[in-house]
Amino acid sequence: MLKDSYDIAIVGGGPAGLNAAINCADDNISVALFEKDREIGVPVRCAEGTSEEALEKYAFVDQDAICSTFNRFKFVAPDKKFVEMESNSMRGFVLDRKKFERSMARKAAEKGVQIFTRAHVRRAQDKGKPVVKVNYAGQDHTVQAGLVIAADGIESRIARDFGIDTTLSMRDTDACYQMTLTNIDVPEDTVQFWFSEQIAPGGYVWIFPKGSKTANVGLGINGLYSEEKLAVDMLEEFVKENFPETTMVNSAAGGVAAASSLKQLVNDNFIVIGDAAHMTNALTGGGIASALAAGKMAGEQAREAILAGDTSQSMLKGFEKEWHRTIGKDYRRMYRLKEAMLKINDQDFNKLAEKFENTPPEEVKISKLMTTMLKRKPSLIIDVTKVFAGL
Amino acid sequence: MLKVDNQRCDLCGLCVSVCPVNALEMFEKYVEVDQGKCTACTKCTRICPVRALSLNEERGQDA
Ligand SMILES: Cc1cc2nc3c(=O)[nH]c(=O)nc-3n(C[C@H](O)[C@H](O)[C@H](O)COP(=O)(O)OP(=O)(O)OC[C@H]3O[C@@H](n4cnc5c(N)ncnc54)[C@H](O)[C@@H]3O)c2cc1C
Ligand code: SF4
Ligand code: SF4
Repeated sequence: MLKDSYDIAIVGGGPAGLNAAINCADDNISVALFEKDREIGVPVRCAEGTSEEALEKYAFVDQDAICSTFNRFKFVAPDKKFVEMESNSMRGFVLDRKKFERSMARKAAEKGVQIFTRAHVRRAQDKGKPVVKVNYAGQDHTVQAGLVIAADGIESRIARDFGIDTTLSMRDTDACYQMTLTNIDVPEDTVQFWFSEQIAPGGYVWIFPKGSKTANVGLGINGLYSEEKLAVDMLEEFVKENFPETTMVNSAAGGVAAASSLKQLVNDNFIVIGDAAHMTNALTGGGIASALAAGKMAGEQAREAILAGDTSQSMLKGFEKEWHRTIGKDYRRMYRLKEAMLKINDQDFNKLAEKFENTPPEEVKISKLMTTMLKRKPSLIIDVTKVFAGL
Repeated sequence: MLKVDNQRCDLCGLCVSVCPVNALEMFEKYVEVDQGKCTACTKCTRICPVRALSLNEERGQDA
């Protein structure tokens, strides 16, 4: 039953919102989570790959939700020469996000969080106060909240109610399309990244294996090029050419914020996290780990604020500072690398692959790849040196 | 006027994220356009991964 008021209202039931819910709820705090879709965990607009380390650090992992484990990375150049890298410290999982989110929702519910699906939040602020206007199961309701956490994904509008502009520039946006393919013959322990200006300008093609001859195959095109190259057409072409024998079992369009996270993450009675706050790794487009991390940090902060009876901006700043000091800082570097990568062309990638073609996978390192590639672009060396020097 | 082709639209929400004037809103099964707010800047039509949006009369442009 929907109540008239909650201590904490969370908008969005993705990894960010669910992890915030798990981390803020306890016996003394009432929490409602609103998700506009009919079910938690669907539709999946994601390649579902994430790092083992991040998952273990920030979230509870249901073993059932892990489809495959990888420790090899294959980078394919436009001329199809490739470099392979093996790294146990970068081990990761390809998840079943539907199962993963369902298990998180169960855990949140066990902690007393009330989860509402088919609950579309239209606004979350009224005359400066956190008031949630939600259409739930076809009816409009008004719910008072002590604090609102916006975890409403790429389509976010809630932060705008609290004076935080979440508009993405074209340059910081990737238009994506993905298919889940079966009867695909790819090694299960390897995630693949294919680069080509023809197919995925400003982005790349990914192949993330899910086991049982199934894989998520998709691509992202930077917003500067997305008008001339349509993601769905490019992916169809790619699959036809490279994996003609496969069958598509699912497909989805999607968008990635290839941006640096928003500077302002809090206001009075308000926190924004996850894709809504552009908390994605701009270089890879990965955002599950950061959504979980931010969910945890924000959930803990929200709980502390409610217990202290102080949900002012200055109280909530603790979260903002923690984010920018930790992952936010790493992601600012990733953003610089993305900016550098936008200047790399097909020839550069071909040369790089040629150079590393015969290097054993255990000896290939990301930093080595980056610096080698950028040696061909003297103007970028300074940018990239700064990144690795942590400036 | 901005038109949404509901047959093509996959509900990914990307168009909402680039709209500088908050003229778009995602619902569970469709995207809603506030024609009064839309300035026909073309950002959403250029970003949509499946080309579900179109402007049938060009007004200003905003890179
Ligand atoms: C094609 C593609 C592939 C990707 N691959 C990867 C990958 O392999 N690894 C990785 O780490 N990341 C990947 N990402 C990014 C990753 O999916 C996101 O970063 C992650 O889902 C962000 O989580 P979130 O909780 O912030 O948002 P979301 O998962 O988007 O959840 C937001 C939720 O809020 C709901 N919502 C929105 N507005 C409202 C409202 N007004 N009222 C109620 N509910 C609302 C939405 O319905 C949605 O369920 C990929 C993204 C795309 C598009
Ligand atoms: S970007 Fe295109 S597919 Fe995605 S919601 Fe907007 S109109 Fe639909
Ligand atoms: S054309 Fe521009 S102003 Fe109009 S809805 Fe699209 S992005 Fe918004």
